[in-house]
Amino acid sequence: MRLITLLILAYCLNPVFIQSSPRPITVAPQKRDLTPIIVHSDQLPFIVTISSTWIKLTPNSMQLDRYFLYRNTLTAEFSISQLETTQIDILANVNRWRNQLKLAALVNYTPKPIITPLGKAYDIIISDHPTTAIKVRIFPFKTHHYFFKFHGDKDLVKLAKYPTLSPEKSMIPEKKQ
Amino acid sequence: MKKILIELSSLKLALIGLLGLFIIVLWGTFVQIDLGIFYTQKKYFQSLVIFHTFSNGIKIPIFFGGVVWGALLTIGLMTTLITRIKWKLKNAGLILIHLGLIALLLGSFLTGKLAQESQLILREGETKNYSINRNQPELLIRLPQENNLATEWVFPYHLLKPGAHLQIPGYLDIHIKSFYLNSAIKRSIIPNSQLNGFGKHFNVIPIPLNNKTEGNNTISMIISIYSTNNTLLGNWVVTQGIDADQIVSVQEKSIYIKLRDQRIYTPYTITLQDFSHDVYPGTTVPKNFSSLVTIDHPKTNENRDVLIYMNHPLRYAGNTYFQASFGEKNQLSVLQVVENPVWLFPYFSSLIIALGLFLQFLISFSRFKGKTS
Repeated sequence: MRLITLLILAYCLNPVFIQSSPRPITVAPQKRDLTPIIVHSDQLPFIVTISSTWIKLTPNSMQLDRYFLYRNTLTAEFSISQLETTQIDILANVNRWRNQLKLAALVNYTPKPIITPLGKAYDIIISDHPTTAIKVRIFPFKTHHYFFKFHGDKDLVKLAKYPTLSPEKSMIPEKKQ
Repeated sequence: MKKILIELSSLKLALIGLLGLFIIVLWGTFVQIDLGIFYTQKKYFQSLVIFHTFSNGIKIPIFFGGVVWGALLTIGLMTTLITRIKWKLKNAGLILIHLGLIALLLGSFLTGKLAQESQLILREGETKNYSINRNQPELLIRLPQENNLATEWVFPYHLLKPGAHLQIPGYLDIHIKSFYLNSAIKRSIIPNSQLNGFGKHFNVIPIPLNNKTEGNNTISMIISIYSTNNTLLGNWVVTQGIDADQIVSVQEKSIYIKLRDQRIYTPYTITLQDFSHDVYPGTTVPKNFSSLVTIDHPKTNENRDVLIYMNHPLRYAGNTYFQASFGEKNQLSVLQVVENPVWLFPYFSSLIIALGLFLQFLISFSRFKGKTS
């Protein structure tokens, strides 16, 4: 009898059977530093800080990193890739991306030059397609060319902001005393 | 009362306790092959009752767990000390042996309750002031503020149960609709109109628990978020499988939500300076794994380098850091962090038992010598 009582008691006391309280549970707030999401890639000679809402995907063989971004039902992908060359044919690349959107090739193309913390870069946007767009920032850095590419729903690609770039600690010149 | 105490101190009961412990140790050892160490410890050694779960989800108790058998033995030893052993100098050895055994059993119980294991994952050059525990994720609600600061509400794992009602006063109420101990994440082609955030584009499918590899389960939840005036803002999926924040707009403020691995913060930071994976010359056979780390403790002004390598853990501020694993072409080191506030218990109790045995031998020997002379 005692054993049965003990058994029932143990059964009832087991946490599995204790139901969560219907009362709301609160916890004390804490103050913390916001830590940025940084792309850690051995192959990147600079620091890329991406949005904490982007979802990391497995990159394909040509990419160093790949992310999924969304806004409500709109979706797009962001990828980072590199080319080991100091010279690139921008028109050929633009036509390659236009081909991905099933758009006719262009005869000439003048990209928009911009200045980034790492130097001069070029912004390209292909938005002739009714629903899909491609937006690419190309910049030369040392012996490579880097491609930051958005590809997806047109409205989202247009709104999407490029991740921030900064030189690695070792590359930041020391301040003069 | 005395009758109960005498009954509890019976040798028969102590033997039953020992037999019970023997059975679950043996049982747990075999079950560990399929269930893994983490779940075996939880189910067999750190529980009151061992349950059998049928395929339809019904649970029935089948045996007492380690806590019951350990308690039975501890009570037996304690009552023996009170009722059966006279507290005289000639019994000092026996008293110490019993006290040592009680301390040993109590120590193992406290270790189960208080010890915490986590992992410190560092890339070369990276600094962290926290380790993570993948087995017990926490729900993080973050409100970013100025100067790179944020107010965070962290709901620990034990509060995350289906039906639980979590509240951030003045901002939102969260109701946990579904809780999956393990799940698979699949990209959905058609957006799911029932869910917000990444749940629109990723399906969370419940799958059976993977007991074989510790920390390999992906815990996911479906939560309903309400504003303070009880208006449903929508349903979100939060999962360990996607390491990304989701934004909920409340009172024109963006609140970030995420189910992340439990973080155990320390008042000091650890930086991985270098990880080495040495092999025997001419082979790929590992010779040594080591992590050169720097401890920086601002409160004590301590800043020193320590080399952690196989069988040479770092013991610091109540934590023990073991070299556990590595990755990313030897650029990443995984340190197992064990925090056990009662780690000295087995040493002390063994010392007491050894002293008791020595005294008992000495007393018996002197008694024997007295008789013969």
